[in-house]
Amino acid sequence: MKDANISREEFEPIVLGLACNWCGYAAADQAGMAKIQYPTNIKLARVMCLGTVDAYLVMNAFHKGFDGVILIGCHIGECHYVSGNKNALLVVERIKKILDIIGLQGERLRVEEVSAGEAPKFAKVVKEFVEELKALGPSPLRRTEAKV
Amino acid sequence: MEGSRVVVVGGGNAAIDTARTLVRLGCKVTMICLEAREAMPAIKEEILEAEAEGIEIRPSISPKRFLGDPGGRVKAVECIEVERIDQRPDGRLKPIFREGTEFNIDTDRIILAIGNRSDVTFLPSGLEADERGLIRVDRDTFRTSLPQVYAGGDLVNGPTSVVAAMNSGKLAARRIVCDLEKVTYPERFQDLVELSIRAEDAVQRNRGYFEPKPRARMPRLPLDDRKSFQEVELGLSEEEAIAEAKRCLNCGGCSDCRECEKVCEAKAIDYYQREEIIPVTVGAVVIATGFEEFDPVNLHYGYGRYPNVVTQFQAARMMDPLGPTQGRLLRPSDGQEAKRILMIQCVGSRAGEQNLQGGHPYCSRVCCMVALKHASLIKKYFAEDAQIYICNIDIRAFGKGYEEYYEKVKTMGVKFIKGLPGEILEEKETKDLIVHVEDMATSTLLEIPVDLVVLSTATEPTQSSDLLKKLGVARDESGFVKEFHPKIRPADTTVKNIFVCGAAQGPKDISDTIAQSGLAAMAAASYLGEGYVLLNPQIAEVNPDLCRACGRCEKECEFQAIRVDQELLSAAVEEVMCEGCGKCTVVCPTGAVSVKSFKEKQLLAAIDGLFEDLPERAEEEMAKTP
Repeated sequence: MKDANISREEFEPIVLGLACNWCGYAAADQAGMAKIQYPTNIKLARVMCLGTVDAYLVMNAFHKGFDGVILIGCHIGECHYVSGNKNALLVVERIKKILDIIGLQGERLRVEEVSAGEAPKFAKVVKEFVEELKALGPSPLRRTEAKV
Repeated sequence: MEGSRVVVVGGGNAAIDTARTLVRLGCKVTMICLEAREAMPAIKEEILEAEAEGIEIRPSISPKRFLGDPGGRVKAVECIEVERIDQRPDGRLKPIFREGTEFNIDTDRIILAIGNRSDVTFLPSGLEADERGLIRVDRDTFRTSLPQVYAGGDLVNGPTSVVAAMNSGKLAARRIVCDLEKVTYPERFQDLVELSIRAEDAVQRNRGYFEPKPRARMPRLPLDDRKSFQEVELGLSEEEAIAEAKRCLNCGGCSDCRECEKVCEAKAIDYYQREEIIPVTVGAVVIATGFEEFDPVNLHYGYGRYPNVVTQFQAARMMDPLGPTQGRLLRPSDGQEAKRILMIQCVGSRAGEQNLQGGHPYCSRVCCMVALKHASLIKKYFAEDAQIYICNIDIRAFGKGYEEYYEKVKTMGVKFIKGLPGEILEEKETKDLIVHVEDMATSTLLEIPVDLVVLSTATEPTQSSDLLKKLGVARDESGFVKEFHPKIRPADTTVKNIFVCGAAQGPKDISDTIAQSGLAAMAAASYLGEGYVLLNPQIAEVNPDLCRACGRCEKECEFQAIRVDQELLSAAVEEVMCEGCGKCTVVCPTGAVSVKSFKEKQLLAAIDGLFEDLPERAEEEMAKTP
């Protein structure tokens, strides 16, 4: 692993997107089929429910070197498994605080509610997150230069 | 007898009875007793009445000697003051006299009314007695120290009343029956045990409902008229008696007279029927618990304060020919026919996310059609010339033929006001209601005087949340049973073998309820009749070596799919119920639960791969492989 030697202007954030099977991932699918453009910075991993996402998964991603992690799932009250997204909100709250404490900036973690039919919202949310991460700069744990 | 002086010795009811009888025979009576005034065993009221009738009562006095004349006739009683009464170790009482306080009371007669004692001389030996010389019995079973010998009444309790003795006898008789039949008291006399529990329960529950009223004051014969033996307590008048009877809390409910049993020709009454809890094992459950009416008492429409504000349900009851008003729409305040009626829609519904005034955010769906129906009925069958207003936000006539119905009602002359009233005032004398509402269509502020205001109240899910909790089905924010999918599977719940239909799932009218009930029945039947269930391959599994039975997974699961097995001391997955969401894996502190074919290491590997998924790296990797 080389030290990241990336200039602010050239910096492209690498983002992990954890999308739930029923809403988030389905929205991403729709966006793809509708040919809606969204930044290639995001790497999507499918989970069955955002409720499956725990601290280890997220911290592991940051340790790996992701500049940002975004959880995309069902609206509150519409979780396919009833309350999984509520748990996800709580987990994200806690981890944000920890990230702040260890200097990893809580803003690098986000959760968004996007239902399966909201493909444009998916694209919008990803675009906004990537812009914000560009401004924040690379994660202190980032070891690779990358062209995404 | 007339004019003679009598001393009555005793402080109990017998002494009082004696004294009050003597007074009516023309004697001059003095009562003396050992006890201090507060300790006199006689009924307090009797003591007061006796004194009012002219009897001199001297407590804390003991007779010392009876003095007579040489002819053998009584002349006086030598008395002494009682300092106090001590209790001997064996229970008997010992009065302590004040030395030197002797005095005489002149009298012609002395009557002793100092109580009786049981004659125990005939009783067999071996019958254990207590310190007072009375038979010793077990308080509950009335058994004595001799087998098959029981005792009660004065022989056990000392001299008391006839009623107490009869009570004692009855209780002992029941115990004897239990001993002879070799059953326990609650088994044999379950209904009596239940009666006392029922009575106590009814008293507690109704405390707030009944207004506390004092006992009726018994009218008494005036003192001047008490020369004869006429009854002193005159009895209550009819009104007083009825009022006194109304104080009864009716805690027993049924008075066990069994008249209903005698009268029933179908022999349908079983007096000895008991509540039975019958366990039924089923493969599927259909929830059809319906709805309840929103209570508009906290809103500003005056329900509960103004008598002429009612709900649509109450109006419907009145319009029912078999109902409480025989089918007439009347004003509750004076029973007059209501000719000017104003209906208010969305009472408790559409209250926004903040649940304004305790209302609900949802639309209750049926109330617009109910209002139209009632307006049409009033115009057609009750009062053709009735003036009817319907205040609304909009009229929702969504079903087949509903819009046409709405148009028809408009042609009948029913006025639709687009706006909900801001204030309703009541006219003090007439109890008419003045409704203040802005008609948004014409931007005018109206003040409409009406006879009756009818509120179209929201429907709410039944408060059977205890039942729903036990079933473990999820509910939505408003408390209705949550359907698995609102469009595709509206009769399924989150639990695979529990189905839902009707207003329990959400407000709906009869046609929609019938349709959904058919669906629920069919879903339950096909679930049961299939003969097999398709399992999701991606379901949770537990490693029992890691599981420490903390129960967090069981608590977290929305589908009742994972439970701690107390015998195995490990969680176990109910495969048919598991939906594979993986929430249990996150809350498990030891990592004992995982989802088949969706393990954490698979996800981590995928994330790793995503990070490595960079064009140059891919080229590097590809270059390596031959």
